[in-house]
Order: sequence, then C-alpha cells, then structure tokens
Amino acid sequence: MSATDGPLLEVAGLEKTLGTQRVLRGVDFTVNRGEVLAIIGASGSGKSTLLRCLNLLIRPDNGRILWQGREVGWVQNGGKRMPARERDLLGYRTQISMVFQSFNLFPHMTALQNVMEAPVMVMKRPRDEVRAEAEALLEKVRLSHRAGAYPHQMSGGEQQRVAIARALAMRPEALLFDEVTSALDPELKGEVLSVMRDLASEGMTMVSVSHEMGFVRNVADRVVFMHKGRVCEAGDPKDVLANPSTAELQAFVRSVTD
Amino acid sequence: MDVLATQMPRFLQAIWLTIWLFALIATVSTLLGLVLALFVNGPRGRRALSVYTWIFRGLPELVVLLFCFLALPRIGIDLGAIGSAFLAFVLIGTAFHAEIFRAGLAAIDPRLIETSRSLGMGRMLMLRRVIIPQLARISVTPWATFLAGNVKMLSLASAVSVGEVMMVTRQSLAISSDPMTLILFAGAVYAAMASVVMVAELLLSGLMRRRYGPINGGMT
Repeated sequence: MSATDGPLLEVAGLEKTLGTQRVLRGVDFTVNRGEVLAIIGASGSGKSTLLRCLNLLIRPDNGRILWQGREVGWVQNGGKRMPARERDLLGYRTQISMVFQSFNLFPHMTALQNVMEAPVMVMKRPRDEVRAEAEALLEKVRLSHRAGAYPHQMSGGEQQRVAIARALAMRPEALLFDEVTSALDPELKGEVLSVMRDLASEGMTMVSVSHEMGFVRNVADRVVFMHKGRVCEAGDPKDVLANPSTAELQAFVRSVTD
Repeated sequence: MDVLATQMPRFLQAIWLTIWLFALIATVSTLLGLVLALFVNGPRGRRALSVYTWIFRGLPELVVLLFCFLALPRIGIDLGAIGSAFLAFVLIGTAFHAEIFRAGLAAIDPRLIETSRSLGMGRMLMLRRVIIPQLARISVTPWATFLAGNVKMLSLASAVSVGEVMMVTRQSLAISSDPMTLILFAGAVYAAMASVVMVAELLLSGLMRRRYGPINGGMT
C-alpha cells in the first residue's frame, strides 16, 4: 500500500486507561484524504481522549496509529516496541493540527502573532512569507480587521476563527476539531461552522468531535458513534442518524434532538 | 540636622552601595530561582529543592548573614563583608523566588501547554514563547512584593559592617544630638527604595493587564 493510495489515517485497536477509567476499549476506524469524519457520542464516551490520541497529545496504551501508511508514536528499538520520545512526535503534530473547545489562543499575542507563531518558531519559515500567508488566512476566516487585536479583545467566535487560522498556518494534512462550538453562544456558532463548511468543501481532511447535529448531517461524509470507549456505530450520517440500529444510538439521537 | 549635613557624603555613598547591592542580589536570586523552578524536575530533585527553600525561608536572615560572615571563614571561605552579605541574601532570595515561580508555573493554564504541544513546540521553545511570558504575568506581583521587603532586609547587612545606609545611620547616631532626624532619614531612604519597586510593579502589571487582558487570557 503506497502512502498516497491508502487511508490518510488509520486507527486500530486503540486503548487508553486514564487513572482507573478505561476510556478507550479498542477503537478502529480510518480517515481518507479529503474526508470529513464526525465523532459523536455522549459525554464521557471517550471522544476527546480519542482525538488527543490521534495527534499523540495523549499516548494510547495499546493499538496502532498509521499516518499515510506508517506507524506513529512507537519506534522499534532493538526488536522491542518502544514509545517514541516527545521530540520525535513534534513533526507529526504539525501535520495534523488541532482546534480546541476553549480556543486556547496565546493571550500575550495578537491574532496575527498567534497565527504566525508555529510557522515561524516551529517550522522556521521566513517571517515575511509567513506574515503574508497569515494575513491571507485571517482574511479567509473573515478577520482581517482583527489582525492586531489581542484574544481578550475578541468575541469567542472570533477567537475560535483565529484558532482555526492558526491551525491552518502549519499547512497541515488534516485538522482535528474538539467540540469547537460548544463554548460559544448560539449566534456565534454559525460563523465558526461556516468556516468549517468552507474548509470541507475545499477538500480539507477533518476529524471533528461535535454536538452540532446539523453539521454532522450536512457536512460530514461519515460519522462514528462512540459509546463506552468503543465505536458503536459508523457510516453515512444521513443513514446512521435517521435509522440508528443500536439502542444506544437511538437513545443518543433522541437526547440531542429533544 | 548638623550631623546629617556633615555625614551627607557618606550617606550618599551608602545609598549608592545599597542600591547596587540590592539590584545585584535581586537579579542573581531571581535568575537562580527561575532556573531552579523551571529545571529541577523529578521527585528527588523536587525534594532537594523543597528542603533548600524550607531551610532558607525558615532561618532568620541575621543567622544566615552571620553564618556567612563569621562561620564560613573558619572553613577557609572568607568573602569579606559585602561578599558575605551578597551570598546570604542570594541564598535567601533564591529560596523565595524559586517558590514564587514554582507556584506561578503551577498556575499556568495547562490548556496553553497542550496547545503548544499540538503546534509542535519542543520544551525549550515552549518555555521561551509561552511559559515564561505567562509566568511573568502571574508572578510579577508576588515577586515584587518579596523584593520590596528585601530592600529593608538589606539594612541587616550593617550587622556585618557593610557600609550601607543603616550602618552609616548607626555611626552617625553615636555623634548626634538629634537621633530622630537621622532615624527618619534612614527610614525614608529604605521606604523610597521599596516604593520604587512597588510603583514599578503597579505600572508593569497594569500595563500588562490593559494590553493582554486578564491573566491566562480569562479562559474559563
């Protein structure tokens, strides 16, 4: 299987225990290039932990993560399978960047500086080139007029759009979204979701943990329903959400539509 | 009044000595405290650091000072008056600053660390670009509060014959019929130096608040 033909990201048998809690109990799925995958599930079903395992912010206890056909997070050391060192994961993380529920902009940097930070400091790209690209990204998320604003001067919706621009500035192959609209007032969710829709239509590969059923139904190519640390159901969101086959998903769909 | 006037050249010299000694002690102990707080890791290192800060935060400053001035020469380390005062106050200051910065580090929003990791930042880059700027915001007030107190602590150095302000004051008192003026003057000098530190802290933290918003970006 060559790097370009197979799935971009493949996860097999992922397990993670946090404290005494078995958060992930063997998760399998694949993400193809250009695909939008939505992960849904009740609170505590392991969605956010799963997302953090994908870019190895959290190291899974067991299982495999294949990125473009190659395993990440583990190295062969004298015939033994060893966890990779943090510094060997940094390059991988720049290819699969993440947007967080609470935006997490650097409070001591302006919107533009936040977007420029990783390309300049981590990837060592020339500052002038990065500045032009960062300005274009802010324009793309419709925030050119806020380039010089500090995070505390912006609304939540604006901060989250800056965070998306910051994630895009690393020119990633895929984006991870962790409930990115959950902390926003209803009238601010729309502006963030519309940016995400634009990205999806441009062919960006996205994995999104989301409670926005409209987004899941209309934008996602595939949905994965998590229940108690396992993938309980998966498929085309229009089918799966309309005709859930398991009692768990039926209950979940009822609870979010009520 | 007469004694204050005739002793003024010595007072000015003493004030100058006090200022640069304070600046030097503050700089060195801040840097050492920062390095200890940032780089002493692991349970054994942490425990050793705790023992050190416990001892030097607990001992009276005068005891440390006299130890450096009187006891160290017995084992062949004679630093002189100013050297002993410098060592004593750096030992004490570093202990306080290490604790101040350690508490500050613990107060940094862990989500900013997680975000830095997700952006591919290594440890040193994260320290420089994210952690130290946040630490500066969180720790500036306790740091300056300790330093303002530290200015007054320097008056203890007169006990080991360092020619700082209190030393000259005590010598002048011996030949003066107007102790009140001398004592008030010495008090004013220390209070003025402490006030400079306090006002600088107010201005600095106010500036940062206006510019960068609440600490940790007000994230909830």
